[in-house]
Amino acid sequence: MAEVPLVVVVVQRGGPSTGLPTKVEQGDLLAVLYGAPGDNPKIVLAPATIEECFHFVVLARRLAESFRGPVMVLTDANLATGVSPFPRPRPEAGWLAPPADQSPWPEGMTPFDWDERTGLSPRPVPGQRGGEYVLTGLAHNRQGKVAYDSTSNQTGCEMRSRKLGALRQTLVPPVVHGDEEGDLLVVGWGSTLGAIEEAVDCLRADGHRVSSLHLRFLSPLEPGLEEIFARFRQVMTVELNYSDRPDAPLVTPTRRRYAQLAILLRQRTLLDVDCWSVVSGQPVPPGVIVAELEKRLAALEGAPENIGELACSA
Amino acid sequence: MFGLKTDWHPDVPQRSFTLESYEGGVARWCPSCGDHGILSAVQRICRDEQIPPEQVVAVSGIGCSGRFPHYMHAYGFHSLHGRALPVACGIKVRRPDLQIWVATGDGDCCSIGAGHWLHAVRYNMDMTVMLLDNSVYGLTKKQTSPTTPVGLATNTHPEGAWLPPLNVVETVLGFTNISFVAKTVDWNPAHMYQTLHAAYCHRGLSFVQILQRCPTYTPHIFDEWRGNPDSIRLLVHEDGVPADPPVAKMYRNHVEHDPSDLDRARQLAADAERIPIGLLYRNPDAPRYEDFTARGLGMPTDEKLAALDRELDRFAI
Ligand SMILES: Cc1ncc(C[n+]2csc(CCOP(=O)(O)OP(=O)(O)O)c2C)c(N)n1
Repeated sequence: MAEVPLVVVVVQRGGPSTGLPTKVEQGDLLAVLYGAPGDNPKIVLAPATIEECFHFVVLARRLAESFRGPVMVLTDANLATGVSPFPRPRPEAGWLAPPADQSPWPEGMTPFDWDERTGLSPRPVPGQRGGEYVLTGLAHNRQGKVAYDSTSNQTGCEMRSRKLGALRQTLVPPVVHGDEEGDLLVVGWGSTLGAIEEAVDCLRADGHRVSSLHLRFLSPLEPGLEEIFARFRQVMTVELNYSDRPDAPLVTPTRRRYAQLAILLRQRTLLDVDCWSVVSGQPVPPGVIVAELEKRLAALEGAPENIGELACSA
Repeated sequence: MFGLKTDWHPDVPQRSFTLESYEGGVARWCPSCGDHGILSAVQRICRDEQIPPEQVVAVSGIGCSGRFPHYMHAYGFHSLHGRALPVACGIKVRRPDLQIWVATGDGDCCSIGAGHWLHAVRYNMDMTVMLLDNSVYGLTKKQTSPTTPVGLATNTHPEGAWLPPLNVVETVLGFTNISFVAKTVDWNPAHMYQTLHAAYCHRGLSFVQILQRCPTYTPHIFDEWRGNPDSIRLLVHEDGVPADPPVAKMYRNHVEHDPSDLDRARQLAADAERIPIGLLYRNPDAPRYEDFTARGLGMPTDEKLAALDRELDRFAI
């Protein structure tokens, strides 16, 4: 609403409530995306390694300024408290925020001069002569004036939403770890990268047709997911947050509460994305993932090939 | 030559500002609301000090008081209920060059924003904080606020507020690292102007409680002090808020008060009957948070990169 650049680093720890305050969880994804009144599109990045945490903060600052809004960097207790060596970065001028623009504001330009296609608009910075405006959390028009009429709020929401679309245009599809097609695709995000890939490598060495995909952009989601998913017989997420076990009492496939990324992927792709997740507060060991994947693979490998089943059961 | 430095130039101001330079939208407060006078006082100070409008930032939370920035021609941030002070601090952290005026209400500052209030005062960043105190939640049509007098009927306490009201200035005088605490009344524009002007001139957080009439919900709560100026103590001192002769004549009950005397300030503030107006306390030497956070602001890029490199070296193996 304010459309001011802001980088927020969210370090997730075990919930609910104060929960497991020194342990790891990936339980805040939906809260970060949706936990506010009304529609509030924002960019959400999820670094998967300690090295990525470093570089994503630089990226986040740039995105916040280009897209004139909040960027959430979603990390967790493992990334925040872990230690890992990585190649020494060489600072570059592009890392730094440019000095605040204090040149006169172009005459006649409004403080919310939304581009119809991208929703982007230049931002007057206090100190810029002629750019004086009031930033308000109330519905406002392009002039920044409070506007309760029947169209202004709709327009404002549309323009802010278009910014996510504009960013999505610039993203490239994620790279699959392992073969580009197979029986099972495991999708993860954040600090579980190492464990998931180790588990996948181990199963592939045993001849299983399993691959993985790790997402870094959670809002907007990276493009091309539908195409990638279509090349696997089943897609599932592995996450550190709560989901109902499929065999729990009173749970049916349509009455199941899914893990948080799985919820996003199901609604984005309209595919029957499965999930396995825990809230043990511990980093999940590759061996535990291997055991879970083996169960799914056994079911898949025993069943006849049917590429269509993923979409049909959705 | 002629004893002038080579970089001398005649100091002709390029721009001059009138009251209109600071006038934003038409103020939509009720007719005779005290907020109108507070707005005029701020606009007059900006004019008298010739502050370029683009250097002024008016910050508010939510409430009738929250509309303040919309009526200024300046940069403004009409933020969330209770959050005027953290927003103002956030601006000042990296923009010490801007002149910040905060308008907050007794609900905004002393209820929902009370946690921020304590810390912002202690951070002592250079800004003028005006508590527009009408003793109720005005915008939401009269609920009990922390400063509602006992017995005043409100929507939340229809049979009258139960608890003694928070004594705002006494409370602030109990915070740590305070640097400017004053009180004034909206029905005496001359005193209000002088108080806000002194607040503006002070470097650090100047906190000014302004008793503000709400013609709709609390038209009579200040009648006692308005009808009987002798029930008000006018604080006078050479380091205090200057009292114009008409003000000094109207409030005959003068108290010579040295604003560096914190104990005495607390005694004066504690008297809720004979309220003090003027400067209760000033400490120009209290540390200001922005003097730390704004370090390195003008540092050239190559120096910043060198500093970053040094920092990374500490982790390199
Ligand atoms: C988080 C939140 N809680 C409650 C409200 C509703 N609300 C709007 S103004 C207000 C009280 C304002 O009272 P005060 O700060 O004394 O300002 P006044 O209107 O009297 O100037 C409240 C409770 C809100 N806008 N946001």
